[in-house]
Amino acid sequence: MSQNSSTFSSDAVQARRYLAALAGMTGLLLLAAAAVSAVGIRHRVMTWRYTQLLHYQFDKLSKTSGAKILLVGDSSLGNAIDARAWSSALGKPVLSLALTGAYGYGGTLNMIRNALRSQPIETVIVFQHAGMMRDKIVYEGMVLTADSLSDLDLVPFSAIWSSLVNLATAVNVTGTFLLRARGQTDTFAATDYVPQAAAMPDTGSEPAELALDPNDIVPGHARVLSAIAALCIEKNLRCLYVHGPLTRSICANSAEFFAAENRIIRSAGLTPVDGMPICLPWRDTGDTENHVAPQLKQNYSARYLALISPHLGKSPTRP
Amino acid sequence: MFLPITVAGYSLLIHFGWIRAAFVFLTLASLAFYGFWDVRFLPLLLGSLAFNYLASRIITRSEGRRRTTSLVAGLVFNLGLLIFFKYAMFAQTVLHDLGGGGFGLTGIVLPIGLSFITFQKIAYLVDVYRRSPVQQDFLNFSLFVTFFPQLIAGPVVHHQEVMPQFSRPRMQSLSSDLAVGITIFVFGLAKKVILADSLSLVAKPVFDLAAQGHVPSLLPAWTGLLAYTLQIYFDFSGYSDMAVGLAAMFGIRLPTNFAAPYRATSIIEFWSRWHITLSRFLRDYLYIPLGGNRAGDPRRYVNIFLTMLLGGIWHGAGWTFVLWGAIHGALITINHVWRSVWRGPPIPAAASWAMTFFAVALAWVPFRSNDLRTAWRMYAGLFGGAGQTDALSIPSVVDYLWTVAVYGVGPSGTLNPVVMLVVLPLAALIALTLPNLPRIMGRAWPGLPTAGYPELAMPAIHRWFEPPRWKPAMIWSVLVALIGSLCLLKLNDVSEFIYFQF
Repeated sequence: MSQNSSTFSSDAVQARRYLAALAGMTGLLLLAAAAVSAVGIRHRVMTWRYTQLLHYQFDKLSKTSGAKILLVGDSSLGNAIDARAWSSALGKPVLSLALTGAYGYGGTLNMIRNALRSQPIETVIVFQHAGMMRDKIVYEGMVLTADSLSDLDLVPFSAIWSSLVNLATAVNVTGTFLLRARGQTDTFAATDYVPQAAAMPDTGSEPAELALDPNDIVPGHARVLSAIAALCIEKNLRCLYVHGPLTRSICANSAEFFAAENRIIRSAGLTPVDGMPICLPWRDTGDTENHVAPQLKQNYSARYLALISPHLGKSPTRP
Repeated sequence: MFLPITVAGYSLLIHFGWIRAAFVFLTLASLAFYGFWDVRFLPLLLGSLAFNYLASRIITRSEGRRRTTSLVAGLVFNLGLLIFFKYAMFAQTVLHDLGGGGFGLTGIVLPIGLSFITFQKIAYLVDVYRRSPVQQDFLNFSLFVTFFPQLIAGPVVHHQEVMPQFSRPRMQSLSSDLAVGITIFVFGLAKKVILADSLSLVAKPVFDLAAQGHVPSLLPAWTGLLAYTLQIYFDFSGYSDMAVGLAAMFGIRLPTNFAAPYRATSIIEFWSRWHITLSRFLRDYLYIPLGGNRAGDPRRYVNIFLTMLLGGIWHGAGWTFVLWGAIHGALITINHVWRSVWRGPPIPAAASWAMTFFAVALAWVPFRSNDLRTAWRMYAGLFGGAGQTDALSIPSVVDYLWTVAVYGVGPSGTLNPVVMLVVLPLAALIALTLPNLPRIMGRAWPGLPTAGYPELAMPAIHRWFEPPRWKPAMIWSVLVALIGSLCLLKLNDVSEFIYFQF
């Protein structure tokens, strides 16, 4: 460390140049990573396991025209309802764009927006797993399903920043682009959703009883639900909210929890369909507690149609 | 935003010659930093600060019994706080396990940095009592205790190292200090974010498996242990480097805390290179007051063992930390005994290194384990307790690595192939063969040496691996920018939640 003034100032000049170069290079590298991520997210050039489902749903949307009834939500929807069977029964085109719970209500909102851009939707049925409001609020789902900047209106800047400026996304996008890989989506066509994993083991008796606690509801979900309701009013849509099925050992003990969820849904401006969730007997439960067993999908699809169809003739959502 | 604002404010005040105001500003910024972490404990920190300063003034002005009583009161206060917040719940558990009741304590939260702050204040009070040269300016004392770069995770700074620095402006230009400080900070951050956090992806599943009641298979057990051995080094030394780098941005020099410890060829040497400031504190304020080596060898070994035992307890409230301390106490004692009795030729350096490294690695098992049973299962797995005695054959090792590379799955569950096959070997290479950061930074390294401890700068094991010394040149700015960008990208990594689960 020099005390001589000319060496001191020459060290300072060198150091300033170093710092300027450091700042400039870092900024450029981060911008480059953000740009790669942004392009990848915008064009869905990624190969994470459930972005294959996103590709599948967007491909389906692009090949569909004239859909009147839109089903959006998560895996509880994808495993419980056959949109094609509903179309035949109702005589109206029904389109399911089910994703996964990880995409959150934000992903659901953006899938509605994406569908409205190309389809003459009249009715939207939001179908999410019964414990949805216990999930923490994540924004990546909203970022991944966004088709324009306006679709990011509810995403904080910090979440956009961390979605774009992150190593995993940049590496994945680059790898996917270089390897021309998009993952296997042809396995989804048979059931119009991701095939289930192996069923939970049958121990011969119902699992232990559990109750969902209303205190576990994460505050903040109402914000996106309100945005869904506002969209429904703006576009003169009939919008319904359906709690997905849940295995009976939990479902039967959680009435307070579902009542709390329904209060939030109503206060946001949506209409929860009565009689939900359907409590699944253990033998009807699939690979997780909120999935219908695959061999019973048609049965439950018909059952949900019977329960929901009386609501389909009602007026659109009102403020 | 905190760091740029603090550096800018401090530098502006220094620039106008308002040195005292600059250090007041730094103290207030450090208190704000602590309050941001957990505002509940800010009154505790301030109260403790005031009490210790008052105690030091009383000690200074007292003689005889009053002087001693004042010191004891100060020590009891500081240790009492630490014992209450850190060990009361553990003591309650032990009492409960022994069939007693409890104290009715629930949910005690340890204030951040309390362990480090306690040792710093104890050293200060003891030195005041011993009439060592001690600055007794309240502002300087406050900043010494609260200085934010070392507040959360050390190093255990000695007042004689830093307090004299609080009365003078920068020794270099702001630009030079920033260039050095940011560079070191980036390297420290890379150690933590890129290496340590990645290595935890390999170590955690193995230790979790043991915690769930299973004995890990041989290869996963050793892989997990090696990963953790490197993880804790890069995690801790990374934090220490970040502290040195942050302090350098203010023209303040903190002591160096690590000097390539995994290249030590004896356990005694290991402890002169690992957490140097803690080792120094334990030596000066525990080992020597216990008698050190003044009462003959048997008593010396007892003092060593007790010192390391208490050092282990300082790290955490649990039997696993007691065991870890006891293991190191035993190892150091054995090392001293060996040195005093062995008259044969010296053990080859490679063999010494191997024994030291594996002894240290095996000692990390209880340190990392949730409880003693988990530690036992890990040891069982490490020594073939899961039954795979042929797993160390070359075909088995190749098959294991191939399975991880292709399927991302090891016998303990999902493993990240990139971490396993790229980061883990890279981390081992860095820790064991390459020059350490003080060596790379050369004369620009601001970290203070510790008297009586070995040379901090550790060269590469061969000159072919020796890079040029750091200087504020374009090539280094590109490299540091690359590493810094990688760190920032890694910090923002999206959790697997969105991509791998319903």
